Amino acid sequence: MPRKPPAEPIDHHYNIPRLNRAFFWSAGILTAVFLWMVLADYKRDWKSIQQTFLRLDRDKTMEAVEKAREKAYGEERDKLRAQLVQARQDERAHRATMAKLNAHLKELDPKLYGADQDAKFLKASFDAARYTYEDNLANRPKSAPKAGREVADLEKKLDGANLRLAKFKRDEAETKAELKRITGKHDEAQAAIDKLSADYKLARQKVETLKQDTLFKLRNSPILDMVNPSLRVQQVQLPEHFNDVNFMRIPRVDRCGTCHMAADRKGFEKASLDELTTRYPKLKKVIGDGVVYETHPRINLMVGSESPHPVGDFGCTPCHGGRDRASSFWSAGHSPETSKEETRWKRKYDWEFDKFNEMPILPIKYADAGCYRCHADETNFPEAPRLDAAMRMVESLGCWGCHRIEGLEKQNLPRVGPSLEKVSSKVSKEWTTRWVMAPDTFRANTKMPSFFYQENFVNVSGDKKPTKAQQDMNVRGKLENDAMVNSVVAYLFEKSHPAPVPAAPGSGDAARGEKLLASRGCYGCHQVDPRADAPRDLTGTYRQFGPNLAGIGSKASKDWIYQWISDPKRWNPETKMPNLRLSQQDALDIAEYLSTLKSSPHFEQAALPQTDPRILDDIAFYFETATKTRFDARADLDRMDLHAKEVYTGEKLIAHYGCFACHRIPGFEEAKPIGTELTEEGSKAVHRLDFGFLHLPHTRQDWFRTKLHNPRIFDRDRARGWEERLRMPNFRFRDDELDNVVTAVLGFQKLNASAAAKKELSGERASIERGRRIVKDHNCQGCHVIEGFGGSIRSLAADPSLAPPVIQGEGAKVQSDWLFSFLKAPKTGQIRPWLEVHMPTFGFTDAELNDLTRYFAYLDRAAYPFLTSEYATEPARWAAGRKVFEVLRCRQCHPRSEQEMNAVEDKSSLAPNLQMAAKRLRHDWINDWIRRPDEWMPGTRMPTNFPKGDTGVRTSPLGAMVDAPAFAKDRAEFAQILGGDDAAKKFLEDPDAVTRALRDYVWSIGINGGTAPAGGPAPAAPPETKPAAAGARASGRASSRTAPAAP
Amino acid sequence: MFLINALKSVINFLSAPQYLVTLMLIGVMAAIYWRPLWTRRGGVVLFAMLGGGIGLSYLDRNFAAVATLPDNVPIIGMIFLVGFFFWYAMYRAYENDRRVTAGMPTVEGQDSAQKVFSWPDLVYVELICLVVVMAILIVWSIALKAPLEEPANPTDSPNPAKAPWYFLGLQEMLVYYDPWLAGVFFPALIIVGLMAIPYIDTNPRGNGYFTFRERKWEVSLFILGFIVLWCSLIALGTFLRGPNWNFFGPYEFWDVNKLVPLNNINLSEIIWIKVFKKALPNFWLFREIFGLLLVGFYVLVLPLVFSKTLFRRFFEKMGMARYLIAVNLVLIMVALPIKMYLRWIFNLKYIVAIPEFAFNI
Repeated sequence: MPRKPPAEPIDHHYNIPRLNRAFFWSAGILTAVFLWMVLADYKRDWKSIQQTFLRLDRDKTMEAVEKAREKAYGEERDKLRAQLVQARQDERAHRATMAKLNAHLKELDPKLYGADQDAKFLKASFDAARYTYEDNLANRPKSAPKAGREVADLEKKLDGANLRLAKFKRDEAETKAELKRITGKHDEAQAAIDKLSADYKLARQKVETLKQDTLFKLRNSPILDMVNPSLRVQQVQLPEHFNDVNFMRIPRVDRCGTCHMAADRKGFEKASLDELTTRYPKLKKVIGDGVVYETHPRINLMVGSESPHPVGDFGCTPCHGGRDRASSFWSAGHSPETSKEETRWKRKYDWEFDKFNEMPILPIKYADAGCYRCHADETNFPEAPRLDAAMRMVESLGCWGCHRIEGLEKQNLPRVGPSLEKVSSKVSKEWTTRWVMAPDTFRANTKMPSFFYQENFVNVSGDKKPTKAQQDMNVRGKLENDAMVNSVVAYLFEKSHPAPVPAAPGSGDAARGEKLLASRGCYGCHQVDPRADAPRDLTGTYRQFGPNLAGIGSKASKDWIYQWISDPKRWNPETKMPNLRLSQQDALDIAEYLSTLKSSPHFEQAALPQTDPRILDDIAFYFETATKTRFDARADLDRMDLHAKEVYTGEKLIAHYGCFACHRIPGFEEAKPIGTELTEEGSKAVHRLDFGFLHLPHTRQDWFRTKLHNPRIFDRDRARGWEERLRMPNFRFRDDELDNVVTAVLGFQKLNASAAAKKELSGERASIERGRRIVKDHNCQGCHVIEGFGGSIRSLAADPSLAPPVIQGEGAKVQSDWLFSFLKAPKTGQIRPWLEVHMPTFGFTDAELNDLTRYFAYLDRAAYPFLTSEYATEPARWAAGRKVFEVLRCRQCHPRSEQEMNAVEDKSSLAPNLQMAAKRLRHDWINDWIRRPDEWMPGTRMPTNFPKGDTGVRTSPLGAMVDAPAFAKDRAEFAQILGGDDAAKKFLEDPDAVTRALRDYVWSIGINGGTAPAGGPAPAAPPETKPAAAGARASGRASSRTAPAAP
Repeated sequence: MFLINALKSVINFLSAPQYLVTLMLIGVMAAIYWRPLWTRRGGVVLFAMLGGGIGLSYLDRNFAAVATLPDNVPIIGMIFLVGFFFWYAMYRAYENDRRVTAGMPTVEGQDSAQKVFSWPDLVYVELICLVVVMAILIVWSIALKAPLEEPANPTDSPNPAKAPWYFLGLQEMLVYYDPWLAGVFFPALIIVGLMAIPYIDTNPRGNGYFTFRERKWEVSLFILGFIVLWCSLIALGTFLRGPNWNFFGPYEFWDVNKLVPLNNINLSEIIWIKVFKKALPNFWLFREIFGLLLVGFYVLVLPLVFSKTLFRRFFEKMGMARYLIAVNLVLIMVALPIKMYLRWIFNLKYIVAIPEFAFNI
């Protein structure tokens, strides 16, 4: 029924058609906006990255498919096909039999099925009946006999059913076996073909899963992707690592793998990606620079499932930093390394600086910083070269002296600078003044930083043109520094303990001294580099451990130098300089030479500062008013003369600038460090860093870098008195040094992980670490290669055999008590008389010596500390050993006594004196060494007498010549010693037997000069203690590091 | 360039709270009486100036850094919205006043004579509004990131620590008043006072239509309270208060190191030490007697004085109880600008300072 039209037209307040139009447009806009929302939500960078990676993976797999295809369809397949065809033809002859057998099987099948079912049913009934019987026995004994009968009845039936089943089964098996006899060859060929193409099939299947077909697109389309998408966020949960959100700790959930899909997969290394893109140029366009598709560059150390830091336990952000749950480039907290990269990222990835991200990802060049928080107890970081360099710099420059760093505090490092307790007896006041003013003008590569005449005193406006007021500040700042330098020197000389320096007993030969300086081993720690731009290198070489000796003659007198090098510890018991046991003449010669090394006139002629009494008065007044009223302070100062004021101010300034952090200074023995604690500096909130008036990116690394480059820079444009200005001295860091030190400071982070995630050093590992610490603190690596590092002095030796020995496998090689006494008091010329370089006496304490011996033993997993000292040997074997020693002409190089040693003119052709063997070497090491010196110490002069045969097994050199006519006489002798020709032949061909015999002989040299078997005739052959995994041990330090500690 | 910089420094200077509040007080209160502003042309000029001024300001790096923060964007919106409705209400009010003077019915009066259906005249319009608002909200949520910051840390609060935008007016009050007044008493009084308005203001004129002439006092008081003392303080708190709650001009860099001396003294110190040159009495009542008397005079005596003079008309119309409540509410509202000026002119910290009971006014 049509609606009745209204009686009068309805009156509207609004124009309805206009409202309709408005509704149309607004609804249209809402629809469009809604679609935009859906798309904006759908479109994620990681999805396209995953798609690209799928494509990459597919291309890579396709290559594998091709390779597998070649294998699957190669010649071998043709051969097998032929076999298959032949087998089929053979089968035809038996067609009738096969048909019969198959028919029989078919007939058997239902019977078998029925019998099987019967047996199963009966078994179930039997079990139930047995239970009823047992129940009756326990609770209703009366009805038990009836139930018992039922059980017996069922048991009988079950036996019958099982028997029937067994018969059918036997019948089936026999029929099948008969069939197999006929089709066996056919089946075999088929299986071989299948096996051949298995890889191909697998690869094909994988390609299928990587295909981005319609189904793939449907699964991953907007809205439908909520069901079961194949593109999805990939995450690992890290229960041992936390996000500290202040009120609680939340386990980290790393989603980095969402984009970095290949990080933990081998095969996508940069090189192989490059190779792939050259073959598929189209791919190059898609993946761009492709870093995100790469395998982690250190997959064997990080992330890889076989590595010590598998991604499932360590994730990514605990080391790299960044926001764990983020799934976009920006929110993850990627940090650009350079401003160029920043511009590129802004353009390409919409990157912007995120000031709310407290722990953004460390720029790649500082990535090593991520290691320190877990590995702080370790001494060296061979797997993280930048961190290793960084910590060497932080340790040797003494950063820890002013700034408390918990990890280093535990290491108890010695002060890095020389003691100034006797400074007045060593150097002149003028020299000290010039040195304090600008140490680098005396010694360009010194570690001593510059404290005075820095920017915030003499150039307060920095790069800008100074205003009038700033010019005045500069003038005053220079005067203030003048007064400060004079005051500090005045205090040092006033409080210096008097120490007489006796005159050297005679004079030396400078030319000989120069040679001795090089040959005695001084250059393991020192250099003489007089260049004005001599580079500082605290990380590449170990030879800058001690000071550069250029100009030393202008600093100290010949008498002092003589006294010092004769016995450094007599002058300063704390010094790290060891005693080289120089003869008086050697010491005189070296002192003579060193005193000829004069500094540049530039330094000598530098004007000495003049103290402006008013300025000095102002500075002193400031210090006085710290504890006294203005009136008492004034009265005090009025009582002092200029010198007294300087001494007073100097003391206060030493406290103000913290000189005592590096130097032992009288009056400051117990002073507390003055700098900011750095233990958790790498996690410090950026807003707590004072950027002053400087505009830099507000990141930790930018601040640290700027600060370290010019420690006073944040005073720019400030108008403060000297006492409020920044105090950190300038270490004159170069760019590469800055990279290192910034890495270290960034590495001093709060550990947001449970104790289980941290590297714990206990037991043997702790002992090894203590040893490493002693090695590092005494610069052993200046001369020796230890754990694959060091031996800087070796580059100076013309012949490597004239250089200090490489220390490798030392723990397995020498007896710990010999090592103990050797390190305590090394003697010159006992083992390697041809060496001119001296092993110095370091004056180790017993505790240190124990740590060192334990370190070497544990490093090689050798027995420690007790060893058998007396070994008995079979006289025959010993005699055979003596004969082998003669046959192999070991004597040519190895002396067996002092006389033999002294008889040789050219000692450099000698090998170690075997007289020491029984005292020094480990018994079971000797034969192992003889057998394979090339594995123990690659590059050794010891010839490899027992080369590896074709099978990789060591062979005896005597085995090769045993049948030679020239050897007949020797063979007869061996036969006589060993009681028969067969025994002799067997002995000569067995490398183990030969080396053991040699060992027994060598051992006896150390005990009785090799005249008789050690320990007399043995009751029986002692059980051989085989050195465990000596090969792995000998192959280098890497294995001893990664191998698990022995229980 | 020089001119622009000069202009910027003038604006920076004038945005300091003392000048901003003064300008708003004088400017806004005078403007409502200035007829030409409340016409269509006046509105266009007003918005052209406001929009142009703010729009051009975005060219300044320091201004843009603050104004483009996702959490500050709505405040820019608020300035325009509040400004628009302020203008619209006054425009309608003046229009009605003109018609009433001419003997014509008000616009609303004329309109309500006509009866229409709720559909489509009401519901359809609401629907369209709903759709448009939804579209705007969706675009906003797509275009601007949620203003999330670092995890909250009780030992390391952000600088400046700001209240949510709608409380920034209260936070600004904290600069001048003791926390229990500015944070507890005044907010409670604002709510109670707003709830009391229907019982205090029984004047039937202006019901259902815009008017200014018939309710000059009421409208002026509302504008003073809402626009000057509430909205402008929110804008000030958002854009002009930087690190350490220091004041920064709109074109000034928010430097964390900026230092401003806060050397304020109490009334008792001014009277006893500066005027009488005597030590402060130990007993608090004796010490603070002048401040207490002053406050007592303000809240107890002044209403009575006003009832005979300034507000005699209201007193007669409203009766004693209603009058006293209303006047006290107004006096307490006006106490904020009064205290502000006392601070700016005399560095006055507290009128009554009794730390013994943590009681300060």
